[in-house]
Amino acid sequence: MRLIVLLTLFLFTQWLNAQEMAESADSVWEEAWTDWEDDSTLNAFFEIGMGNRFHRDPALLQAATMRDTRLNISWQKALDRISMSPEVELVHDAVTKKFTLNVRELSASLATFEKADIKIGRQILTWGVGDYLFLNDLFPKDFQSFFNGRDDRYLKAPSDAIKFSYFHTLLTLDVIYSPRFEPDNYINGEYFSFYQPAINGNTSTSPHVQLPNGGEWSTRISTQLGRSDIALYASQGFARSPLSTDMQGAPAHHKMKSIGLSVVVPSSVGLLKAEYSYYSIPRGQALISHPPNESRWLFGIDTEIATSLVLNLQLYTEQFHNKQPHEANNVAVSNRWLLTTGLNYTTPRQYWSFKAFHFYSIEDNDGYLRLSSSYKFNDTTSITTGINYFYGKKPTTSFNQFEKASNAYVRMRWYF
Amino acid sequence: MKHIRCWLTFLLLSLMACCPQSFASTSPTEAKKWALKAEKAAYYSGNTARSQVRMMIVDGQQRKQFRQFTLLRKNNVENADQQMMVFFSRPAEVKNTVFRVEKHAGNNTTDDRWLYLPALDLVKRIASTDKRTSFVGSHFYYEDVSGRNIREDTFEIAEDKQSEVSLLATAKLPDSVEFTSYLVTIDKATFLPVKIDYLDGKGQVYRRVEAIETKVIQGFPTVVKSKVSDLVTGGFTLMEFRNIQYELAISDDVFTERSLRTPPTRFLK
Repeated sequence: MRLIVLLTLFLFTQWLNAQEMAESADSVWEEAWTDWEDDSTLNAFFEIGMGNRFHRDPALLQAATMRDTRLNISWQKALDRISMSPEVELVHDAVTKKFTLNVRELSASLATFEKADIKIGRQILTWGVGDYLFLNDLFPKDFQSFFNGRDDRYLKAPSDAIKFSYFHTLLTLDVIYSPRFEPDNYINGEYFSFYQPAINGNTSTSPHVQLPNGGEWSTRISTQLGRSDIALYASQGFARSPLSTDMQGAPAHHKMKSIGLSVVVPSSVGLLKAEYSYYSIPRGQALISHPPNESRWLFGIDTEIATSLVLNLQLYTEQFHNKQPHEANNVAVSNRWLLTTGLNYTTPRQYWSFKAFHFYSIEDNDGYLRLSSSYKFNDTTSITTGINYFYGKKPTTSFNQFEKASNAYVRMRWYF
Repeated sequence: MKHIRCWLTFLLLSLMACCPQSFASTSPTEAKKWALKAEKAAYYSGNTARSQVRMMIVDGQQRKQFRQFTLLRKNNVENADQQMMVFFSRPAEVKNTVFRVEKHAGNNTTDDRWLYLPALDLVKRIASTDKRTSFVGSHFYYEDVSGRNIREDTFEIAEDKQSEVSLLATAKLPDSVEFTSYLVTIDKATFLPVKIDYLDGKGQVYRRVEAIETKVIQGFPTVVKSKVSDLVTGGFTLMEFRNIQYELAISDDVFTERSLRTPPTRFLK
C-alpha cells in the first residue's frame, strides 16, 4: 500500500515539475533575482522511506526496518549581529509506532564581540576528521538511523548546548557546554536486536538506564600550519553508551575525560589525515565495573582516483589500558582494529551519485557494508536506494551480531 | 653579389615594416604577454571582488538545473594566489553550504578546498587533485571558475585582427588535461577572453567557453554573462553575474572557518 502511495506521489510530482518546467523553462532566466531580496528564507522537504530486513529475526517480530513519513521545515533569519536557524521535523515512524516532533536545531548565533561568536540552543555538533569513525567527536549519535538507511545527516543527533568560539589570527578556540546529558541513540531493540552475553543470544529488550545528572564540557583549539589543519581536543562528561554497571547491577553511563589531536595534510597523492584520542575513566565512581582507559588511533587518506571518483581508506584501532586481572572492576574488552574503505562517485551533472563504505574488523573477521545510490530527477526531487549488510562468522562479534539487521531501503524526497 | 645582398636586406626590412604583426606572431613572448593580460583581466581585477551568480545547467536531454551562490574573492598581493568563498543558496539541498578555496598559482601545487556542511555543522577538507572536473554539476570546471595557471601552457599567436587576437595554447603536460589544444580569443580593448575553443586530437572543437555579455564596473571590464557548451552532447551552462563590486575592504580573516559557519552578510549583499 505504501509503495502505491509512493508511486502515485512520484508520478504526480513529475507531472507538476513538467508543468513548471514547460511554463517557465525559458522565462525563468528573465525573472528577477527575488531570492536575494529577502533576509529570511523558509525551506522544507517531505520524505517517505521504507526498508525491510533480508532475514527474519527471531528476537524481533517486525520485518520492517524503516517506515518513515517526514516533513522537515527549516528557516534562516540573519540580522546584523544575530542569526537564527530553526529546523524541526514532524515524523511518523510506523516501526516504533510513534508520531514525534523532532527539533534538530533551535539556536541563535550571536556575533557578540569582534572576534567571538556564541551559539545558544539546540544544535548539531561535529568535529574530528574520521569518516563514520569518531575519536574526539563525543557528541550524541543516532546509530539506529545509521543502520536503517536514513540520510547520513541523522547519524548526528542534536543536543542542547552553548558554544563559544573565539577567532584569533593564529587559531580558533571552541568551548562547548551542554547542561544536560544526552545519550547516543544506540541499538536498543527498537529496530534491531543486539547480542546479550547473559543469554548468549540476541535480544530486543533493553533495560531502563538511568541517565547521569551533570553538564559536559568539550573544547577544541584549531589552527592552520602551512597548508595543514591541526586541532587539539579535550572533553569532560559521560560515556554516550551505558558500558558500565552501577551498584544496582544496571547499565550505567560512566564519567570520562578525553584529550586528543588531529592533523590533515594535503599531499600529491591526496589528503592524509590522522587523529588520536585518549579516554580516561576517573576513579571513585559508584560502579561495579567499567571499561578500562582507552587510546584510539586513526590514519586515513582521501584521494581522487579518477574524475569525480574519490577513494577513502582508514586504519583505526582501539587500544585498552589497565586490563590487568587485578583490575576487577574492568569490563572485559579486547583491542580492536578496523579497516574502512569508502568510494564516492558523482556523475558530471550530479544527477546520480553512488556511495560505498565498508567496515572490516581484522581480529573478528566480520564487517559492515553500506551501499547507496541516489538519483535526482530535478532540483527538487530525488530517490535514494541502499543496502546495509552485516556479515561474519561468529554471532557474538561487533558487526555480525547484527546479521539479522541487514536490510534494503528506498527513500524519496521532495523539496518545496 | 654585394648589390644583391643589399637589395635582399632592403626587401626584408621593407616587409617587416609593412607587416609587423605577422613577424610578431612567431614570437612566444608576445603571445605570453597577451595571455598574461587576459588572465589578469579575467581573474585578478581588483584586489577583492564580490558577485552574486546564478547558473542554468542544461544537459544533452534538455533537462535543467539551477544554481545560485555568492562569490567572494581576495588576491594575495605578494603572488598570484587567491582566496575564494562560495556561499550557496540554491538548490534547497545545498542551501547554506559554503565552499572555500585557497588557490595556489604555483606549478604542481593543488588548491586547498574545504566544504561546510550546515546539517552537520562540519567543516570538511576535500581532496582536490583535478581542477578540470565539474563545478557544482555545471559545464564549468573548477579551473574555469578559479582560473587556469598560464604557466601550465605554451602560447603562440594564431590570428591577429584589429580588435581581437587569438592565441593557440598547448599544455606543457599533455597527460594532465583532456584537450589537445585550445584557441583563446582576446578582446584587445578590454583584454578579456571572449571565446575559448577546446580542440581534441582530431582538431575538432568539442567544448566552448564564451563571454556573452561584458560591462565595465568600477573601471574593470567584467564578464557578466558567460556560457560553456559541450558540443558533443549539446548540453550547456549559462552563468550570469550581478551585484558585482570590487575593492571591498575584506580582510584575510574573513576567509576562515568563522565565515563558513556565520557568513559575512555585510559583504554578500
